[in-house]
Amino acid sequence: MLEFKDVYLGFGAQAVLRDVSFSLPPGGRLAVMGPSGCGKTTLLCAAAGLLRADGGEIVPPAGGAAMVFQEPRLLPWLTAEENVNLVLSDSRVTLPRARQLLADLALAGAEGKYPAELSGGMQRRVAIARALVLERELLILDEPFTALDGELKERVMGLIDGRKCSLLLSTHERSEAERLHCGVMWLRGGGLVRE
Amino acid sequence: MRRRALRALGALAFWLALWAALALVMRLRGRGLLLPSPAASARRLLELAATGEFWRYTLCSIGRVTLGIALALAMGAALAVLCARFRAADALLAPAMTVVKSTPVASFAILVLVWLPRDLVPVCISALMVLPVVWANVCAGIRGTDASLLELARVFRLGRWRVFRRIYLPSVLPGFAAACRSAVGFGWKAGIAAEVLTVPRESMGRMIYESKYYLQTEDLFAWTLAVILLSLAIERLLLLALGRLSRGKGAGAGA
Repeated sequence: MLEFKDVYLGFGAQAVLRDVSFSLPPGGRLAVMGPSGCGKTTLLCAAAGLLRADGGEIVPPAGGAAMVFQEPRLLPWLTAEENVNLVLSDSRVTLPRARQLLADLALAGAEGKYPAELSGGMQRRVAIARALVLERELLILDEPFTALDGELKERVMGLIDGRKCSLLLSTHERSEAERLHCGVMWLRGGGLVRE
Repeated sequence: MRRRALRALGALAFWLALWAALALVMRLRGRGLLLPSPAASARRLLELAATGEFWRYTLCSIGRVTLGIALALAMGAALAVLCARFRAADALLAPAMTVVKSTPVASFAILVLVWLPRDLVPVCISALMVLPVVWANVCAGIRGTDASLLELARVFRLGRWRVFRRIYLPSVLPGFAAACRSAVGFGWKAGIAAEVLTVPRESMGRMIYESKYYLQTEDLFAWTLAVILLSLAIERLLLLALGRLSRGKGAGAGA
């Protein structure tokens, strides 16, 4: 379970998160919404363990987290398949589920391509495959559908929706939160407001 | 590609022609001894290459310089990792590297000759001259590693070995390759200069020194040509090896 207890986080004198409290039980789903620059990514990075709270406490999920960042963050010197394998315990072996995931994300035939040879949407899907292949307790998604068009977006959302893990999503689109059955929280002035 | 090769050949032909013209002028003025022609130097090189002595001395010099460069590559990379990890190490080493970089080969060679047997002086000098270059390039490579990829590694809890193998190593490799390229040139020049200054018994440097001493300019040019050709050949071999390494880095080896 992920838990934020009165979390305060700032950069220098500027507070980004103020007294943020929420808990995400196993299998729970939450979407964080709010205008650009309101601190959604900061909140997600803190949940992923990349940022420390300056005040309060963050209890990370015991089963670890997987994350889809706002940018694909693929290793440019690895192929699409190797980028997915990177996070597996033995990166030399492509598991059937990794291969299946790439196919499900319409990346069959692109496994051997390097990120520079892939379109923005394909890179994004490789990053999603990398996060889904692990089956961690918490899946953190930072605006994951931005480079995806209608049909593909629905396909990817279907795949994510089928997961049993907890979900923490940052998005500008309410429809995405609804499609993934997420409760919605608004981030305003550094504080969280639940709908 | 072909045009580039032609241009390079043209440049080479120009400099050889200039050298030949100058040598001719010197010979016409009765001072041919001071500047042998390219043909005479090449002929002398071929004559020397037909002797076992040439190859023995050459191999000894290659051994010394290669050992020095290898030591510098290993130490430079290790020290760069140390400096990237600990700021105190960086603060301590940075001025030392600046001093090493700015000190003339001759000063080092004479100083090291007091401490080490003369056969080891060129090894030490090659290593000292190459060390700051490797250290600086690898430091820059480590510092230039994409922080967002390191964040990715943290979130996905990648092990230290995998982070090194998959993120740091490919980030550092281009800088390391550039360092290797400079290292061969520096290492050779410094190593041979040290040999000339310390005259180990079996060395190219000693032959260069004796050529100068006995005013055998054809020999001097022939040995110098040999040094240049060997430097180019070793640089090529090294870059080939590094090219293979960087091509293989995406091949999925290593967990």
